[in-house]
Amino acid sequence: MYEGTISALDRVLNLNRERNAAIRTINETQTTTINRVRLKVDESTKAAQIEQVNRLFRHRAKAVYDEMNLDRLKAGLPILKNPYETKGK
Amino acid sequence: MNINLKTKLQALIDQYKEDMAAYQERFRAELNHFNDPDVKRRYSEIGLKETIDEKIAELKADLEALCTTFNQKAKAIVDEAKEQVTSAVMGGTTNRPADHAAMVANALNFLDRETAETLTDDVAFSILKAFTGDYDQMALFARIVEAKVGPLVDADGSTTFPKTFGTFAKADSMLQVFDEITPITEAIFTNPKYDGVDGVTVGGIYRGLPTDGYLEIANWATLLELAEKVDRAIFAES
Repeated sequence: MYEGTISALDRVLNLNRERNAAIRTINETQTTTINRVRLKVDESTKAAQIEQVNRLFRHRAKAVYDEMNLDRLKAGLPILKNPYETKGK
Repeated sequence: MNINLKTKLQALIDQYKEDMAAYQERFRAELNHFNDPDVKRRYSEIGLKETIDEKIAELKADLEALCTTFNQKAKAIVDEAKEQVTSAVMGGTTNRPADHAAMVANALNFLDRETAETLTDDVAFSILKAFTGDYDQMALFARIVEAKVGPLVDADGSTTFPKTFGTFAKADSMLQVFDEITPITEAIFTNPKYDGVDGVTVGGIYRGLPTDGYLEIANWATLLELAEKVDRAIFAES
């Protein structure tokens, strides 16, 4: 009964690690190459990319929590609050 | 049966520490970013401070969400272990015969005929031996016997009716450990963090990295000790 919850939470934690790795890569990237020309990546581009990574992570985490909570409801367990859900964003 | 509760909780704590270290690096990197002259140039002095404060609030919200997930996993691990222990010690509850109610009524009748002096451990065992694997039922009988003969636990904490209530007492003490474990896991990873000595100076202000306090570390040690108790008790039982 709890195995499903534990493996779902493991998936969320792995998604979080992937997100942090992606953000680290974005922050560390100084330049990008377009048609043999190396251009500096400006901060607003990085900020937009990071926001996209965060949005994708929240979407995936929500899917995992929704599936897990459905199984928990069927098993008669209380649902777990998704801490990554941001209201009004 | 081996439930390995301590191993699972230790692995969870180790995983948390790794993720916490990675988070602190991200905190440092994202704040250091504001020390870049190209970035600082984009903001006024007040605007820079506000942007930094917003970034810190966002990072702390992320940390809180991460800690909440770890907390949820800790509780799931403990709940799983409790379910395994409960089904091991309360197996009799689910395997009751069809005439269980009649057997209980007969047992109560026999107990009623005994006095405090005549109701010894051997006599009680002869009346209740059919129920010794049924935790719930033995809990009820323990109250009745206790009302007749006095406390069933001596000064050492051992039962005074070992033959009759020995198994029940062991099961009871195992389940009581969970009464200690459960409140600790409520906030095992979500106690307030403090601003550590290690940090980063940004916008002229020193910002400490969010760090676990002594309470959290002490709680981990206590939780692991209790988990080991459960593992040893279950292993001895099987």
